[in-house]
Amino acid sequence: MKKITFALFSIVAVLAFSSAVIDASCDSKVLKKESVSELNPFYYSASKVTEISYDYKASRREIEVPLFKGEKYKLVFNKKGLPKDVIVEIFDKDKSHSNRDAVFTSEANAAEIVSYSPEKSKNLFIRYTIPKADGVEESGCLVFVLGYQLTFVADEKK
Amino acid sequence: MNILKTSLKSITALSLAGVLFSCADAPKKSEATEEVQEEIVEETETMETETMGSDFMMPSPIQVAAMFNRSGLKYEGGITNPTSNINKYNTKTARFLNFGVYSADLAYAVLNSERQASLDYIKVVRELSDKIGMPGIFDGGNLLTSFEKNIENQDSILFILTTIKLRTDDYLAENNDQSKEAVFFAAAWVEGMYLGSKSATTESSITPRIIEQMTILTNVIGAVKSQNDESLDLTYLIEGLERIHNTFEGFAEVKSLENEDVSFSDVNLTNEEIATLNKEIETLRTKIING
Repeated sequence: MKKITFALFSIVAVLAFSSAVIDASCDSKVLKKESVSELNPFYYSASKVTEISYDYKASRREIEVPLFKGEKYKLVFNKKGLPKDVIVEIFDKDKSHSNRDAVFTSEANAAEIVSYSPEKSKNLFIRYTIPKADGVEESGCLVFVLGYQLTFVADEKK
Repeated sequence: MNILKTSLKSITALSLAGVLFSCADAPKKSEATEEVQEEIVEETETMETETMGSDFMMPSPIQVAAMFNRSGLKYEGGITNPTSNINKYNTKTARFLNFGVYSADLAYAVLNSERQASLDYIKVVRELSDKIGMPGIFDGGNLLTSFEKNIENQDSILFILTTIKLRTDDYLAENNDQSKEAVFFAAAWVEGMYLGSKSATTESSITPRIIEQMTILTNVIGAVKSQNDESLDLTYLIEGLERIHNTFEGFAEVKSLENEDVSFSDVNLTNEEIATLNKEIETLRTKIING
């Protein structure tokens, strides 16, 4: 009986261990809710949950975000669903421009939630730099929420 | 009991083998360290190619309506899609598209403090969300009740509108159906552009806003094309959007923009060109609201 108990315990332990190693916890709905609360006083506009897989090589992904002239925005990135940090950079030009400069980078920022509010609104290009895997296949998710300032004509007159 | 013991040992062995197998597939640290110096794999999620269209981040239809509102539009009650038209929408395609249309009408009414119209439109948006299969976004009616109670409080109303958008996005994400967002947005975009063109006055500065909206159209078309629900018939929507896009791209001043760094907001269109563009928008909008 002891052997059976031991065997059952082994199975549970092995499955739990393998699950913990391979899949990082990523409750995107909870992470998104947390990110939305960071938008205040901006209103929710849109969100993007990117599944991140750490491969044997470092990799990059890019997202285009349309921002309209004269509008005010806040971009919030929640990295709590990642087993390992991903660098978030924001550019004002797409990657075909070899000399483009980053207007924001999370590289020196250890915070799990980072945000950026552009001074001037124009299309932005967000680049995620995903580091290589460390021996085991890992995955997670990065939640990006966009907020904008919403005012009435009456508010502006005031 | 012996059989059970044997089975348990086998399962344990298989489980361990499974873990080892997964580890064998995973990269070895030394290999990865060497290779990362050589190459970084690039993957772009922009709308430059149609296959990646669904990853484009769609703007909020509420925001588009708000931008038009601040450009000096006057509210014109008779130009929105009548709520009575909801009875025409008996197909899945018509319901999806007019969910977007009515959402734009709702935003237009709210942003212009048209309370009765706001109440009327939120009811049809809710009815269509139920028919589409997204009843959860109204929290069983609680959100509608809250909207009615707070109709005098613009901040609360705006918060409720953005909550509806957030819950719609959550619903689509939970059902792995995010590409539908492009369908809702495309229809809302057409309605927003129609309302913008119809309610512009000589004092309003709507034209630069309309031109600015044209710059996202390629991405919107790509995103609509990338959704793969065969039960939706979006051919006329795609064709209509492409006609609008081609009309805009065909204007002399737009064609002359060889320098890609020149902003579209610097483009000046003639009244005739604006009228031509508006006609294409109206044609597509009429098809959508006729179901």
